Amino acid sequence: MIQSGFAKYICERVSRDVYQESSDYLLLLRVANRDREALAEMYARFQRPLFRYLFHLVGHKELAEDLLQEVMVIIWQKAHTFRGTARASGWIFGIAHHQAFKALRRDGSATCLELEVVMDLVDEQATPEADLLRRTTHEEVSLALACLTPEHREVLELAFFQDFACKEIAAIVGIPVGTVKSRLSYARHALKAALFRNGWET
Amino acid sequence: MTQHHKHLVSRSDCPVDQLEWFVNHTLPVEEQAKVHAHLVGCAFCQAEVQNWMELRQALQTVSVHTPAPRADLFLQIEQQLDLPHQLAPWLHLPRLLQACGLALLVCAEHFRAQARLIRRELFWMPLVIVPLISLTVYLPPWQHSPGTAALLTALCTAFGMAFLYGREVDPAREMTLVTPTSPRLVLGVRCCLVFGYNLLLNCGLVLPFLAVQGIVTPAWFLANWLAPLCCLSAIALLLSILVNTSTALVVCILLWGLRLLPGVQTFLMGGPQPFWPTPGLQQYEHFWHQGPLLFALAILTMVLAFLLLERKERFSG
Repeated sequence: MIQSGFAKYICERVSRDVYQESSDYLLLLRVANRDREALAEMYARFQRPLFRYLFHLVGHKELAEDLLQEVMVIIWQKAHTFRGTARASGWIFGIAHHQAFKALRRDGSATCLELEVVMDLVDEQATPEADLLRRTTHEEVSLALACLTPEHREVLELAFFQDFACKEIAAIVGIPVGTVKSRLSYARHALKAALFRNGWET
Repeated sequence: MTQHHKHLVSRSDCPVDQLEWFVNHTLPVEEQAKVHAHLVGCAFCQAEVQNWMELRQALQTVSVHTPAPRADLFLQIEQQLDLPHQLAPWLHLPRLLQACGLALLVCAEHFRAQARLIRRELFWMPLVIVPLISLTVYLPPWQHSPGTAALLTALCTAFGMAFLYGREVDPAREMTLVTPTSPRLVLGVRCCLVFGYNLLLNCGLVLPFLAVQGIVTPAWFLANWLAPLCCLSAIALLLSILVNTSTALVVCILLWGLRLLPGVQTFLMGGPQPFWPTPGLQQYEHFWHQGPLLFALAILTMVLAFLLLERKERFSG
């Protein structure tokens, strides 16, 4: 019963992904042909995920809006360079990654947890992680996320907000697959550590 | 050692590095099925999956509370699309080359126009005089001594520079004053034309001739020929701007006359004995052989001439 349900779910997901991907690709082709309606459609489709990604990375609404604007303009200008070898959404997020980190380098005022603090806290706290996360509010998680480095926030964002595959994240961020995995693992522990550091237990 | 690490040591066949991708459903279908099958019999991996799922769930709740971008953002994006496309630096190269080509064309046009406006004498006279001067090194009093030739060619060039600017020598001055062209640009172009032309004559006609005979070397040319030539030309230009052409000519003749004096004495007396005592003449001659100093002085004088030119034009009405 479980097996058949799982198989059905997989089939549905595959067909949905294929449809979504071909639709994004066709939309990007229309944008490459200077179709403004296609750009409007693309904006309607990607504005929420892109803005969420940018907002979680830079932490300021206005800056995230400026970056979203820049990303859309670049998509308009560079759509003809997309060769279709990867997913259209991955290409778009690659542009967003580039613009966001350019802005972060300009700003240079990110606060984050140090590696040693994270590792110490993870070993000290025995509270089951699932329980901990289940009982936190979204404000607490947001606050803990803000303590992570942009690089670690980014892999969490791409893996669990945007549901990108490991290889896709590696392509978007421009790092090896192994680094994506290690960053994700570290980000999970760092998030837990940040929750404790922010006084969650009390 | 954490619980996770202990597990890795004991159960190396667990797909621990795939569990997070199992949770976000991005594994390939076969891998997804394999992990699913493994989970049925592995409590540790089930717990890990549970942790990842809780993390994903927690992050999704944050996602729901993320603010939305402002409503008019796409209008701004559309306005941005209408702005000219900012090209990458390397794509600016054709435009840069085009701008350089245009600048060269404008320069060439200025040179052509000024070449037609400058007195004809400034071109044909040096063409005759400069080669004739070089022949002085073969005359008996100055035989195999290029110093006199250097002195005379410098004087010839300085005369040319003195005739570049001035109410009485420039028929095109009024024309340049009523056009938006800067007087500095006009004078700069004329300086390049006349000085360049004289230098070309010196380097092209005289020097190879003297060098073949073994009379001059490049180092000697730079220090004793080119440096005084530049310095005297700059002085002539400055004086023609500050006072007038006649004064510039007189001063140049005086300056060079003092240098020519020993040679004239030798010629008249027929020997090295001085005709009358000249105590500071040696130091004066020594000054005109200090190449770097003369080049620096020439540059300073030219800068001063160009600075004063604008002021002079403004108040001369």
